[in-house]
Amino acid sequence: MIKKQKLTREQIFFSTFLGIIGNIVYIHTWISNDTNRASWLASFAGILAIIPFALWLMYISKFNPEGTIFDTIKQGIGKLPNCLLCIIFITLNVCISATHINMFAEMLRVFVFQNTPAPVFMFIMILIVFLILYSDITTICKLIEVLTVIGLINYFSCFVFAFPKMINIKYIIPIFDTSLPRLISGLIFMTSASSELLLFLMVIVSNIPDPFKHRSWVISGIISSAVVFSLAILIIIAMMSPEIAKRIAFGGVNAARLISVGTYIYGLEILVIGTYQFIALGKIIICMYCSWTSLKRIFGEKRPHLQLAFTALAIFITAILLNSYTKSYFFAVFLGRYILLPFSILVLILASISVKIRRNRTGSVAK
Amino acid sequence: MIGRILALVLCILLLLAPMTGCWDYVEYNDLAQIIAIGIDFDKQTNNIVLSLQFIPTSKPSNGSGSQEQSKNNGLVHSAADTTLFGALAKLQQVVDKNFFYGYSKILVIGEDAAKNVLLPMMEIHDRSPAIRASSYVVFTPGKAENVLGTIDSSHNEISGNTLSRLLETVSSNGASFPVTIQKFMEMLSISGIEAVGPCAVTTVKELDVKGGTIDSIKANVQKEGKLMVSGLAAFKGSSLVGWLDQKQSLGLGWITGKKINAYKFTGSVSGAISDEAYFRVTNTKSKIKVKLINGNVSIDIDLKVTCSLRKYYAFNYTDFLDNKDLSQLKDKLSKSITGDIEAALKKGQKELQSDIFGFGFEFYRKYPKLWNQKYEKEWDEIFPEIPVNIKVDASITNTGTNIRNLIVK
Repeated sequence: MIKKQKLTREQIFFSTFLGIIGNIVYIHTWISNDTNRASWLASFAGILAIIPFALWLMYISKFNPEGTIFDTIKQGIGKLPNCLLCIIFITLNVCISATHINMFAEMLRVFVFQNTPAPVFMFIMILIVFLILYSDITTICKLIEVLTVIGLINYFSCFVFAFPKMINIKYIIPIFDTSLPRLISGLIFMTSASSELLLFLMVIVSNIPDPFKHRSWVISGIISSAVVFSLAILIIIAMMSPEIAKRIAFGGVNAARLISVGTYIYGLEILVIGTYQFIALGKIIICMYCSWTSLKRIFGEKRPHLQLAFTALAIFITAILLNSYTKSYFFAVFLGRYILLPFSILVLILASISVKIRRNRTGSVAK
Repeated sequence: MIGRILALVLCILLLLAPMTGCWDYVEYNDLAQIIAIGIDFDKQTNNIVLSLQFIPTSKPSNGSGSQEQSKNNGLVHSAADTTLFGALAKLQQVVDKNFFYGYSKILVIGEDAAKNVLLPMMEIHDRSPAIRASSYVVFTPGKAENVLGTIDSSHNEISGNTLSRLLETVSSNGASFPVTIQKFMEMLSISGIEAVGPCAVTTVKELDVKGGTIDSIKANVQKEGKLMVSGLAAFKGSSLVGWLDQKQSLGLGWITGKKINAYKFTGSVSGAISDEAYFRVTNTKSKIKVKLINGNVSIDIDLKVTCSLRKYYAFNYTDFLDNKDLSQLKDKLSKSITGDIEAALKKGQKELQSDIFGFGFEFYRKYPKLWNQKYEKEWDEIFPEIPVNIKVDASITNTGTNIRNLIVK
């Protein structure tokens, strides 16, 4: 097998971080009605609950450190079922990126460019990602690293101006004003929606040096995203009240619009829009890379750039077909609620079975 | 190599293609900057009257643009229609520039609109990204149109700007408090709090329509007069139920812990001169405690006020402001503040029966389960009968620059 390029600790950390912060940026409001004031807590615990699955995935990859999870399945169960899984995997990634790009484009249309057609934003974003993916994985991850850092600086430098005048502690305390079953239901949704990370890990795991040994790199990324994301929700709730926060479409941007600095600067939303843009760019990079890699598993390494172009086109066409914030929101909720986690678990089970089959066949365990 | 160059050229061309058309490009000079929006409701015709105050931007000719702008008092046009958008469309028919709401500072809502169509109006303003939720909302007992059309002859300023500044300054003595659209929406949405908003009045009763009237559009309505911000409008649900005067507003401010800077009380009157004391309030801390004993709700209001004495006129005190005098002053101050709070409670709790104090919200914070299960539904009946205990702890930390009265030789 060809030796894969290996990523550094920082690259893994930030890729994991951005792997989680995807569609949940927009669809986290879905749980607000159930979780009320505890929505930040449900988000925090929900993201953390992805850790056992990530560990499971990295444990499996121990037996095939140079391959993706699909390579493991192919070696164990066979080419045809693997091919079928890859097609579903590609479809899911295309759908995730199409919904994300739609929600981002419509956000731009709501706040900044009301008259510009959404397909223009979609096209430019996809074209940029297409050009980025011409590079190797380490360059891509370096870019993700930079995008995440700039995005975070943007986001929190904006909300620094909200302290302490705009923060109302009465909107946060008491934390629990919901029942346990409703909190758990919100938590499960967030875990399922965060499973976008598992899809990414299924592919990127081949680029992690000794994945199970370096599991802390991934775990720290997950914990950080849980902290940052729940903190972002907490700030929004504290600024706007949970009642208002649960009904708005773009929490961060809406909250940033309320911040004024002196009497001249009204609204710092431009900083948060920048963060959303970096998230969108990073998410589409991740999804397109995953789709492209899986496509290569089906068709081989023949004309890879043509395969990349095909992936980009598939995302663009799906995004055009959706062409609505509302449709994308509910589609992303549907994916998060019913598809992503069950599919990830199915892949992990099949991969575990494959490892077992391989062990039975060879009678030994690969290191 | 040639293939790569071709691919690069193709990508650049593809990137350039969507950038040729700027769909959202607009010249600054083609915008009419909306400063204030007024909404009225005509009960007879069921029409919504929308008034817009704007500065028509113009190209700077001689001198700077700001100089030109300062000469401009702004224009107020109003139009009536069955819907807000219909009225807006009518106004756009007489203004040759696109309306730009980015600098909108204030939304003025007339009494009838506040009573009848508040919720749909707020919903439009809340959903539209054009208007910032950080702009102020103000209510008027008369017509919003009259407030916007008032030109203050004493200084060359647009009424929208004057109102927004007044809102910021008037809160220092507690006569009223500024409320942004966002805060107002929060008060409408949060269970256990009823909304309040500042009240603006004008001396103008009828405006001059300088630009004439065409198809229920009144162009350039204005008249010289004076604006005042005083008191608060109180709501129940999404409907205006009454007005709070200065004393009641001040009481509400004490209860809810608003920042009040200046305070005075008047004691016994002796001829033309009365006992008076003026204070600078340096710190206010209000705590609303909810008690539930045997299913009966009671409220304790604990207020701590720290002041500096600025001026006092008294006949019963000694020349020196000793501890005894200060102690008497503190008692009088506490009594006076308690009086303000009682006035607010009488109005809000007994007369309007609207929980503008947020007692229900405090109950919910303490007993969220009980609130959700029982008290939220019954609060309207319970609230007017809740006993409220007021405890004011006033302290005077200094007596300003003097320790004695002014001694006349």
